[in-house]
Amino acid sequence: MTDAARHVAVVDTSFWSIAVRIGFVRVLLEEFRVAVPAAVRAEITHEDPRRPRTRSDYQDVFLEIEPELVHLPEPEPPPIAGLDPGEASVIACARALGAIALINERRGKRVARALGVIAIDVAQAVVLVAAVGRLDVPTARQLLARIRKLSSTPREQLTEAERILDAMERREN
Amino acid sequence: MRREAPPKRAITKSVRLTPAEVQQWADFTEFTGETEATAMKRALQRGLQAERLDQAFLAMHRGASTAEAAQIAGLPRAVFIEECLDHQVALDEPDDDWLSGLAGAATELGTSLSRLDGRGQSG
Repeated sequence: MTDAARHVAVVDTSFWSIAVRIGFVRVLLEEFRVAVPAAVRAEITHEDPRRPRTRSDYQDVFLEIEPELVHLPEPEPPPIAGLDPGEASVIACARALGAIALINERRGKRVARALGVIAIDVAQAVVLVAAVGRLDVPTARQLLARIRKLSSTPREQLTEAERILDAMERREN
Repeated sequence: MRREAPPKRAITKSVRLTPAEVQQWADFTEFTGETEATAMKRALQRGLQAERLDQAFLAMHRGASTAEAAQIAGLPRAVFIEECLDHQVALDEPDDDWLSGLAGAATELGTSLSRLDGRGQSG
């Protein structure tokens, strides 16, 4: 897929952390042109005060892929009021760019939708990427199983996601 | 010439211990060879960090955002999110609009919910 054909997606910190843990980052970068607002970058690269001068995997992966990120306009759009800095910037940038917001917390997703911004969590992103053919269904199932082990996403949502994959698989067979 | 500010003086706090607790500290510092003050200070800081983290997890269960809970834990947000993932603390709550949100995103990506959602279809 050409760069122009790929949608822009603006990622929040919690989505990023889960995506790194389950091994979803490379697929994400293939499907979307990913942007990271300055507030989210600051959150991801903030040193753990308990372990100075060390980096976690989510930080290493971020620094590794940073050159592949889409540049946001400068100055960035002002953050949405009433939300945490990361989410507020993600929604503001996604709104300004007509991009998808990658957010894993319900409050942020709800605010995004109220503002007409499409916002999805990691499980929804896995299903979507499988639906457009970027991932095969067994691999998508493995990713959902990893999310289930993390307990980061409610079981109800994961059950819905697996049901959709079941239907996709039936259709393929 | 700029003079460095003098270090702030430490403040002494006291706690009440039972004779059994005092004996536990005596046994422990006998083993480590430290002063009680050194061992107690380290244990206090570790204990406080653990308590803050527990309270932050409880706040998450009560609906706090990760940013709010991270403040309670005294950690940067991403570091706190890692703690949640390590301790299997849910970051998200059940979302009634989950399927419709997925449908909207699918439309945006040029695929449709009917293709995604197989409920009610026999294949």
